[in-house]
Amino acid sequence: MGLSRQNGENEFRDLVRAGQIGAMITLALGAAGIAGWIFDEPISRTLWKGGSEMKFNTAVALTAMGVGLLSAMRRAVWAKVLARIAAGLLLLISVPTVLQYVFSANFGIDELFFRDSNFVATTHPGRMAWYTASSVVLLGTGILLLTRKTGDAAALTQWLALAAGFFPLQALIGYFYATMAVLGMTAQTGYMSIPTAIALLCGAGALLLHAPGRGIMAVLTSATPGSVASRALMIVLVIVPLAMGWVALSLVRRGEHTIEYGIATVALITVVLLVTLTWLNAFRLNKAEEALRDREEQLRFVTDHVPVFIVQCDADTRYKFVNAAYAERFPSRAEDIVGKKIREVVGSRAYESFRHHVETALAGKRVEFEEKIPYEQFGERWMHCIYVPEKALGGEVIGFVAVIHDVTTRRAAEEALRESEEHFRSLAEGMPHMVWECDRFGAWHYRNAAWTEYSGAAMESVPASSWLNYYHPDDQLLLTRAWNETLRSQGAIRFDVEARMRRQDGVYRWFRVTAAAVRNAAGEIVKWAGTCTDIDEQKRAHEVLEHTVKERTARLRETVHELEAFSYSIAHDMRAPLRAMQGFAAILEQEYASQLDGTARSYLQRLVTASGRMDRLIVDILNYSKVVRGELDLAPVDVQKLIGTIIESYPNLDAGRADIQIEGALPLVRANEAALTQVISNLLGNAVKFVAPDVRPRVRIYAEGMSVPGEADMVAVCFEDNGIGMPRESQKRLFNIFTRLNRPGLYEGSGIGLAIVKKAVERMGGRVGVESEPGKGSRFRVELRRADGI
Amino acid sequence: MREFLTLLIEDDENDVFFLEHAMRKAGWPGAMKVLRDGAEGIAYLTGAGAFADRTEHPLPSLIILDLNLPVKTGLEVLQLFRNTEPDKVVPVIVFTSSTSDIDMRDAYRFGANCYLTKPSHPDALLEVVQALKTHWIRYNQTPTSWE
Repeated sequence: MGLSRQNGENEFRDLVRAGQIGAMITLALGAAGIAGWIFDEPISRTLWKGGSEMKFNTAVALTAMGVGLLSAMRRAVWAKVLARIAAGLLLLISVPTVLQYVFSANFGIDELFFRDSNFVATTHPGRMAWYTASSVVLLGTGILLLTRKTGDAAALTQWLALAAGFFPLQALIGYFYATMAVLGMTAQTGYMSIPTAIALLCGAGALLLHAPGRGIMAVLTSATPGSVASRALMIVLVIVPLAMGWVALSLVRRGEHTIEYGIATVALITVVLLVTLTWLNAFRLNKAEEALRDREEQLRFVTDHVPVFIVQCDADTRYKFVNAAYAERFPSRAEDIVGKKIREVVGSRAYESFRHHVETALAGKRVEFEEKIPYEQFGERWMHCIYVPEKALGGEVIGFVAVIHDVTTRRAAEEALRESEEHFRSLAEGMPHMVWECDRFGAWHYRNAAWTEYSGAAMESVPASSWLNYYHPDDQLLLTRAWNETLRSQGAIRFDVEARMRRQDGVYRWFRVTAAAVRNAAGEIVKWAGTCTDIDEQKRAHEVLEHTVKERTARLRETVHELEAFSYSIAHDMRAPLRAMQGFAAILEQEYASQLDGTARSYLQRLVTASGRMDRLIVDILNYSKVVRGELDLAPVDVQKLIGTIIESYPNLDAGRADIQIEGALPLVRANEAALTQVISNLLGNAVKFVAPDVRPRVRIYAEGMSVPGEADMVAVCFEDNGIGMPRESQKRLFNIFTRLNRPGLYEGSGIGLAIVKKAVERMGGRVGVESEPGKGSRFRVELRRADGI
Repeated sequence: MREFLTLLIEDDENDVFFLEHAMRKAGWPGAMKVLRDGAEGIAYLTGAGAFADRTEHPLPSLIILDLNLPVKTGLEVLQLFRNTEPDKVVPVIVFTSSTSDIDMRDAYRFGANCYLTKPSHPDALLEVVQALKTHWIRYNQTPTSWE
C-alpha cells in the first residue's frame, strides 16, 4: 500500500494527463466563449446553431477554471499563486450569482460587460445558470483546496469535483433526451449551455483526477479486487442505463410503443443487468476472498515458524494478531490472546516497563528498543522489540505491529563475557608483569598498569605501532623477525624472545617477551595477548654463572690436561726401563744361554714374558689415553675399505688363521679414521683371540639399520663371532677399563681393549653394545652416524 | 771418499747400548759419534764452541735423534739445526719412544726425514736397524760434502 502510494505519480501518469487534457478543454471552451462575445460570434458561444448560449460571465469563469486547474497541477510557487488567483476569480463570479438566485436579487453583475440581447428562455438576461454557478462554486473551492501547502485534502477535493460534475451531467442527459424540464431546468434557473456543460464536466474530471491514487479515487484505481470490479462495473452502469433510456424513449416518441411498454422494457433489462452484475461481483469477491484466505494462511505459516514473536495490536492496545511463538510463550492459544489487552496478557509490571514505547508507536513513530522486561509468568527477560505504527488510508494510527526477539541468552553471554573480560583486566592490571594486547594485524590496543609504570608513557600517548621503540636498538631486529615469523605462521611459531626494554629513567632491563594468539570458536585469530616478564636479575645471575662455569671449566680442563700429560709421561717413561729389561733379558737369552742352567733359563723366560705383558699394558694405556685426550675430527669413512686394510695389516687376522666374512655392503660413516681403526682392530682381535682351543675363529661383519624411530641417520656395524661368549652378568662391566673375564694364562689381555672401543665410539657420537651367551659366541654392535646421506 | 759418519743424539745409555749392539750385529759401516743431550747436539751441528773445528768434528752423513733429551729437546735441536743451517740438509732420523701425533707432526714439520718408534725387543730393533742400513746406506745417496 505504502509502496503504491509512493509511486502514485508515475503509476497514474495517464490519468493525470487525461485530467490535464480535461482542464485544457475547459480553458479552450471558456476562451472560445469570451471570443464569441467579443467578436459577437454566436456559434463560438453555442457550438452549434440553435443551442443555448454560454454567458460572458460563464466564459470568463471557465477560462479562469482552466487556468486554475492547469496551474494547480504544477509544483512551482508561481503556479500555486496563479491557481489561487484563478480560484478567487471563480468564487468572485459564482458566489454572488448564487446569492442572486437565493435572495432573488440583482447585483447588476450579469451584464457588467456585455448586454445579453438575444437571450432565450431565461428570466435574467446574461445571468449564469443556477446549475452552472453552483458547479463553479464547488470547483473554485476545490481548486483553492488544491493549493493548500499542508495536509492532504484529496478526498474532500474529489467529493467537491463529483458534486460539481453532477450539474453538467444532468444538463447533458437533459439535452441527450431533449427534456430539460424533467431535470429541473426552467427559465428561472436558466439553462446550462452544451459547451458550458462539456467544459464543466471536463473541469470536474480534471479536479477528480488530480490525485488518482489518493482519497476516494484510490478505491477505483487501486489493484484490490474491489477496485478492479468497480472499474469494470462503472462503465457498464453509466453507459447501459443511458442507452436503454434513450432507446425506450425513442420507441415511445415514434409512437411504436406505449410508455408503459417502454418503462417495462427498461425495468426488465435493468433487472437482468443488475442481477448479472451482482452475480459477477459476488463471484469476483469470492475469488478474491479465497486468495486472501490463502495469503493469510501463508502469512500465518510464515509468522508461526519464524523464531521471533510477531504481534499486531489496535489503537486500544488489544491484540489483533499473535504468532504461534508468542502464544506459546504465555502459554496460551493465539485465539485466546487475540482481543485481550496487552496488559492482561503480559501482566501489569511488564506492561508498565514498556508502556511508553507502546504510546510512542501509537503516536505514529517507529520504536526500537532492547530492555529487560519483568514478566510475571517467567521472570525478567531481555527483549529486543521493534514497534511499527499501522496507519489507515487517511493516515491516522490504527495500531502497531511488533516484532519481538528474546535476547536473554545473548545478553547473558555478553554479560558473562564482559564480566570475564573485566575479571581478566583487573587481574592484568594488578599483575607485576606487563600485559598487553594487540589486534590480529599487530596494532597495540591495551597495556596494563605495570607497562605504563615501567615505561612512563601513558596508554593514550603511545601510538599503536610504536611498541618496538621501547626496546634496545640491538634487540629490535630480533624482535621484529620473531614477531613477523609468528604473524606469518598464524601463531604456530611461538613468540618468545628475551630483549632489553627501556625504563622511564632510560635504564634497560632484560625481559622475556611472549605472545599467544587469541582465537574465536572458528579458530580464527582475533587478537594477540602478550606478557613481558622482568628476567633482568636471572639474566645477570645467569651471565655471572656462565662466566664462573666457563672459568672453572677452563681450570678443570687445564688440570685434566696436566693430569693426562702426567699419566701419559709416566706411562711413556716407564717404557724406557722396561725396554732395557726386555732388551737385556733377550740378549742374555740369545747370547748367554749356554752359560745358564735350566732353572736360570726358566727364570729368564718368566722375566721376558712378564716384561712383554707389561709393555703391552703400557701400549694399551697409551692408546686409551690417546683416544680420551686427542682431538677426534670426524669425516666420512668407508668401513668396508677400512676393514680390508686392517685384515691385511694384522697377521693374526689373515685368512690362514681366521675366517672373516663381510656380508652385504657396509656404509659410509662419520668417524675418525684412526680411532675407528683402533675400534675395529680391537674387536676383530678379540673375536679371533677368545675362541675355544682347536676352533677356527669365524667372524661375520654386516650392517644393520636402526629400529628406533628418530634414529634414521644412524647405522649399526655388527661383528658376530663363534667365540667362547660370556655370561649376561659380565656383559655390563665388559667395557670398563682393566676388566678381564678370563684367568691369565688362558687368554692374555690388558683389559683395556674394549674400554678403548667404548670410549672411541662414544667420542665419535656413537654407541657400542654386546649380545652374548657362554659357548655361543658374541655379537658386538657399533652404532655410528651415517655419512652417505641415507 | 769421506768415511760414513753416524751421529746419535741419545741420553739413555741403555738405548745407546741396544742400538750399537744391533748396529754391530747388522754390520753398520763407518764411524759413530754419540752426544748425550740436546745442547751438545746443537753445538755440534752448528759448529759452535768446542765443535768449531770441522776437520775434527765434521758434519755427519746421517743423524739419529731422540726426542726426549735433557737441556734441549730433540725437536729443539732439529728446529734450530734446520733454521741456522738451511743449506746443510743432513738426513735426520727421529728415533723415539713417543707415539704422539703431535710429536710426529712437529718432527716432520721441522725437517725430519724419518720417524721411528723404538721397538722393545732386540730382535725387532735389529730388524729396524737392518732396514735403515739398507735404505740409508745401501741405496740412499748423499753428496760428498754439505758445504
